[in-house]
Amino acid sequence: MTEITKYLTKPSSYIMWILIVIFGIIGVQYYAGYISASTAAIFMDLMKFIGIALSLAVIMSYTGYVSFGHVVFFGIGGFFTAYELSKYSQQILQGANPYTIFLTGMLIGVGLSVLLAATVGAAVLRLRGAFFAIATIGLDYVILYLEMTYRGGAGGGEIYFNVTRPKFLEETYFVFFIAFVITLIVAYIVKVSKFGYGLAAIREDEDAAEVIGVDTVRYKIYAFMIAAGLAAIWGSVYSWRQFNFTPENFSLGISVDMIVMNVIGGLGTFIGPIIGAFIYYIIYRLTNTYLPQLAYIILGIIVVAVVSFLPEGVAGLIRSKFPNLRKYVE
Amino acid sequence: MTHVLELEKLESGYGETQVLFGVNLKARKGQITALLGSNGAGKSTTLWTIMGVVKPWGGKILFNGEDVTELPPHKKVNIGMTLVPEGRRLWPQLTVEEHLVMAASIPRSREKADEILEMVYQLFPRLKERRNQLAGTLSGGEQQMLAIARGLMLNPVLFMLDEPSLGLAPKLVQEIAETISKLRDEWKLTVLLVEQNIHMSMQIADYAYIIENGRIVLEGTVDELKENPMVKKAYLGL
Repeated sequence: MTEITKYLTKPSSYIMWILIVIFGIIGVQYYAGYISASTAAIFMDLMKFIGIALSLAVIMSYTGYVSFGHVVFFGIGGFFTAYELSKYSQQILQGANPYTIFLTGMLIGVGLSVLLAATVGAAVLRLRGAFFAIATIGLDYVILYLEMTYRGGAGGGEIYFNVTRPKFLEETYFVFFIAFVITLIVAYIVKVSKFGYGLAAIREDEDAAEVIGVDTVRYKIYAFMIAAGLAAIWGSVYSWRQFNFTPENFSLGISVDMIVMNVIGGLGTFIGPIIGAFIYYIIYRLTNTYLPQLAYIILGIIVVAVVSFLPEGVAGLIRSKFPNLRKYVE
Repeated sequence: MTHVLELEKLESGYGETQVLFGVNLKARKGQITALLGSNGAGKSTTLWTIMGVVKPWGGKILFNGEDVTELPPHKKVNIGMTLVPEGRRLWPQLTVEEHLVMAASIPRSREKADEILEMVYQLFPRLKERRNQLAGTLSGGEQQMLAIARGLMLNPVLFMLDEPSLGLAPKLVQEIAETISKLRDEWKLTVLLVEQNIHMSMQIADYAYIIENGRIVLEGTVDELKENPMVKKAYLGL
């Protein structure tokens, strides 16, 4: 416990606390009616982008193993949440508390994701190189097609439910906010703990990590399980907000979003995926609003530019240009 | 005489290529044992196989008399077998202190971490000065010190060094040699030193093996080897 308090008071945690305070204040303002629903929606999207970017960061950016099909956990979390909520929709209409049902669905989704990550990880993370990335893509497709066989009254793989209640959107902001706080704290602690050092060691040189006593296979599997669990949480809250689940939630495009955010922000840091998510979200919003036809072309060009000119991302740039800030930028 | 490490007919390689053909070697307690040979003779492979990063194909590895052939690397580290790999293999994006703290997080040294850190800083005051610097920004000599320091943080019994003199200026090679002697004399470690730099090794080692094409071709105390005509001709250039 004292360890954790120590981690959470390090200078590099300040940015995290500032974010939590800002997003918290916005939630309170929204609840009190000072902020419009559309503005609040932007902040909810931002939390989701940061959340999914950080979930992937644990395995991709901290450990150096790209989980290409990471969206699979986002999908599983979303599916079971939607499934539970639609299954008990009658009870909800008659006054049952939708949050307990939502939480049950989320826990099932998170639990299964973590379990799946452990199983797949144990099989594939023993190998080095691209095997893992490819295996996760395969995993995503397998689960996607399995899911599409589900007929829940709607089309293949689609689930709709209704949990309309007064102040639903305002409450949902806090659902996102709680997920956001959990993700930030978990990802931060993983980064600065000794476990995180071990992951960094694996990323930078796996043989060297092994000879200083890092149980590399176990570390990689744990990292993958944490990454999967966090992604499932976001799939779950996303379903809750959307009132539905569609196979789109397994789209590899979301995986690519996660990867791009990590690359733009800077691999190997905690702050990188957060910065990456901000930048990516702003560009995404602007291009989708003003140049929708060119949105992905522009994003693609930006990614190529970042990889070519800023291989260590924005966080890497800050760390190398401003050594004084290094202790705040972990 | 007790042996900390014994290799019996050790064989290993990469893929289909066999590199070691029945290597027999013993590291005597409290001594520096040198394993010498030219490029590609199998020196580094021997060390990586001892650690288990390269899986042995055959033969036995005994540590303090116990068979550890099949033990995975992280467990070997935890019973006191430590390798300082060739080319330092540091993590450029981590600071000096992060290297040391991380190494000391294994169960074996966790309790004594502060104590060992103090000893390591005494041995390498330069590292203490640079504790918050990224490893990638250190000079070659300092990087080698850090690699050794990281190994010492693991609280080793058997300390294996893979070409610590590689790429260092003669003055720094001398410093490293003195450090290694200190590890034997003051830290009471058993050292297995792998080197191409025969002169440096002969100066500090107690016993030496010469390896060629994956086979030990010669062994003896350093004084014996210095007088051996083959060694004189092929390695010492006399």
